[in-house]
Amino acid sequence: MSLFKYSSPTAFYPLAGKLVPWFAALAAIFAVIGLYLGLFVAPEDFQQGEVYRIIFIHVPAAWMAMVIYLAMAMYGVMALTFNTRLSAMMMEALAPTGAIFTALALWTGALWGKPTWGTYWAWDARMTSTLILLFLYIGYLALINAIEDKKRADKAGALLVIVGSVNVPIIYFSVKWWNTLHQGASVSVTASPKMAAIMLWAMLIMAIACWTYAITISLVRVRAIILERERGRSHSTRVANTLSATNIVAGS
Amino acid sequence: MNWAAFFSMDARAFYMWGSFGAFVVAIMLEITLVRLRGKRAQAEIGEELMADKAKRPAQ
Amino acid sequence: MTATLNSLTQIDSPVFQPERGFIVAMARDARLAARSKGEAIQALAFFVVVVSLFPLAIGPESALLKRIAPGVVWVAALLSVLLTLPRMFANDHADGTLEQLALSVYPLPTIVAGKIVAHWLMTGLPLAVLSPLLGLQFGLASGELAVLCVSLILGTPVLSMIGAIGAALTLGVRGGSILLALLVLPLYIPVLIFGAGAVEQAMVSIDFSANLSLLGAIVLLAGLAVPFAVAAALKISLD
Repeated sequence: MSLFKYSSPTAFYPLAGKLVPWFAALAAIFAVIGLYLGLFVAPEDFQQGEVYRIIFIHVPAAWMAMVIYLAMAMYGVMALTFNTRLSAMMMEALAPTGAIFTALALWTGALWGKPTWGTYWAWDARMTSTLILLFLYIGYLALINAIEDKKRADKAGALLVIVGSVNVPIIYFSVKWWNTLHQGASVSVTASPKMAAIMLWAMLIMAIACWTYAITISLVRVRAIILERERGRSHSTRVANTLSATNIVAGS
Repeated sequence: MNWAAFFSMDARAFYMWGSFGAFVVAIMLEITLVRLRGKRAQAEIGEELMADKAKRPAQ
Repeated sequence: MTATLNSLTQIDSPVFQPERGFIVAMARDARLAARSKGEAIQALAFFVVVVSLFPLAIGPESALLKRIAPGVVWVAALLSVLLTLPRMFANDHADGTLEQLALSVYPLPTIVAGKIVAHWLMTGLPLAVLSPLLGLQFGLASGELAVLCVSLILGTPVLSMIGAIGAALTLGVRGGSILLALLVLPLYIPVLIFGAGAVEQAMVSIDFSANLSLLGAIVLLAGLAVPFAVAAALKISLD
């Protein structure tokens, strides 16, 4: 299959380079449309006033936090079963972006919660599981950075994320369970019962913007990772040829 | 459109712009750091290739 | 030591039984631990000390202490197990035994399962047995003490299992013990919730059996999957 050709990092490097501008443009376009709809077109919320507009970034960020972890787990399965280096590099490229989106989801959630619920933080099931998800991202990043041998770091990270992803539903269930056990912190998260169509559209478009942004930034990051890994191996003429053919070295 | 009213967001500007501001700052920071990382990686591997070429001039 | 190691690398019975790896590994680890009782006792002492710190930090108000007792005992148990995790594979790694175990005639998951059970017998079980005494200090009634003990007996095996994955992944990594805590603690959360939750429900006279059943289900599911994950992690670390 021709797709497998791109599972080699040196073959993927130029392809990723070609894809980056397209995804970056998409991300920019969707962000502009989404922000315009969210900030100017969507009407003021009847109950929450203007501040509800935070959900146009909060909800996409929370989605991305989960989606990126899932994507990492899938790459992890690939890394361990097919032994492809590129899958592990993609995991490494996705993790910081996932962690940033998770942190942003928590931060924007807190700033939305204060005017809406009257508190920055409640030990609500969703907030608590998002916090735990952030811990999982941090654990992965700490592990792969602590292991010097890259090959081992790749595989250990892949295994950790797979174990983590098996745990994510259990964690979510247990936190929900815990939350119903302690009634004190329950808050109704349903933003508003019937959301106007325009609000939904703004949110979806912002989600697409975040999604394409995540693809763009992780492609750029994976290119940097590929180069970092190829260091010290450039004596192999094959690698050197591929890299200079793709104009990595300006003027060479 | 009244811009002052837009920016004050029902006098909840702190929450509103605190969220959007953090979002923009985080993404700008990420883009900058990733670009720097890419540039550094390119420079390092470029040097390596040059040194490699210098070592084997006759071919 | 060499004698027990030989029993893992050679087939000693006329019929090859792969599951014997479990027994042999468990017996070997238990014997090694019995020879150095200090480590198990230290973990236990740590558990007691941490639990005793809470009344000193919070004050002697008995209603409040009783209210937080399940959480305090459970968190202390978590930390105490956490402290013993690095030693799970480190000694065997240092003297090269682990490489030999990985090449032994027995499947690595069975050996790993044996080591996990030995670890639980040395850490989790003593904690659970001691816990009613500590619960007593916090004013728990006898029924609640029993639930506390049972919840720990059901929950600590999972702590050993998840911990084994973390210990295998961080084998020989610098700064490994803090890293291990970072990896393992978030994964401990469901066990903590169900374990401490069972005791809390017993305290307010709600049916706590669902919590204990969930803990039991986690033990069974983890018991099926974890030995393979740990074996995979050890292979990654030893490569």
